[in-house]
Amino acid sequence: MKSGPLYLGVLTASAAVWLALYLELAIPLSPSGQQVVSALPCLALIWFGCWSLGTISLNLIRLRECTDAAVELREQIAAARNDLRARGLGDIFDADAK
Amino acid sequence: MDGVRDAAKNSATPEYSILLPTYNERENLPIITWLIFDELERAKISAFELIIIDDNSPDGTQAIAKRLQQLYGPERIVLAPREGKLGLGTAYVHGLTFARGTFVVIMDADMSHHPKFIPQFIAAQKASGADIVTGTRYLPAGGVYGWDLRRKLMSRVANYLAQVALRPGVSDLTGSFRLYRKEVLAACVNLTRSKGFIFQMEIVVRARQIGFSIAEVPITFVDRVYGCSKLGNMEIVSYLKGLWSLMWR
Repeated sequence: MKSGPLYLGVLTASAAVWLALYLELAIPLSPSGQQVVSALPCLALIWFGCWSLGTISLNLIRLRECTDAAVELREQIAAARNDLRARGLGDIFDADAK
Repeated sequence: MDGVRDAAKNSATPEYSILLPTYNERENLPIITWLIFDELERAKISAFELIIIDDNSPDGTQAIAKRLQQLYGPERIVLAPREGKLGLGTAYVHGLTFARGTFVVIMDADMSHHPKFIPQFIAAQKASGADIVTGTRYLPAGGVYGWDLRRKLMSRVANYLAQVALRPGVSDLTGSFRLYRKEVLAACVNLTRSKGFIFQMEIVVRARQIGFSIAEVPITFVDRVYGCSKLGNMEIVSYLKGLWSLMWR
């Protein structure tokens, strides 16, 4: 399923449920209950923000710096150049080096 | 007898076609070609062909490709030049018309994609039977090199937004080092409308919509072009626009 319509559906459904609670269509709320319900959208937004920041930070820390791969590649490039030189293709690199 | 069998094996249809789009890769092309042959031969994979799709590079990449074809043989290296710089999506379509393999591998020629991962892609495909195997920098065994903190952060935020917006089920959407079943790539490319790195994301999104299976292999990404992170404000805006449009179509 496309994510756009999915999110639109979930958002509409949550908004409807929240509105029903807020307007006390289903159940009457105590004064403290009213406070909680009116703060819910704000709390959800804050939670989403914190979760996003947390996920991004954690993923940033987890992103590995692969120095080993860079060293290996450098050695392999040197080996490739030497072998290609031996096979008569050295002028490709040597012309640029000058 | 062995010689005859070898000749028969060489002329047989390759199983894997590696598509290598190039533009001004005069120095990189011989090295990446050498690495591809070296890694695949070491992994005992011989049924492959390399298709070089050069967009008429002004630096003479095409002439280098011809010399490599002489060196490795016309049955191993296929030249599929184009008249000018026409974009990646059409490069794939163009390369596909030459590809004889059951599977197609797509990679960049600038050596940020190491050919040592191709045998791993092939093994993962065999083990899972997946239609697509995609390289990911973001799984624990993967990684990047040559990125400063800003570049890392940008890639992490971009990836997070893509994960939330598209729920793709794949950890690295903008990478372009992948293996496809040939007909799967053809079907997905035909459905894509975007360009650039949005195009790489759209292929995965389309593949998921059709119901193709995708496996992931961790890859290391060594960026050798230091200091020039090509992510300006224009790219950020076009990235967000691309994400938004992919959510709806």
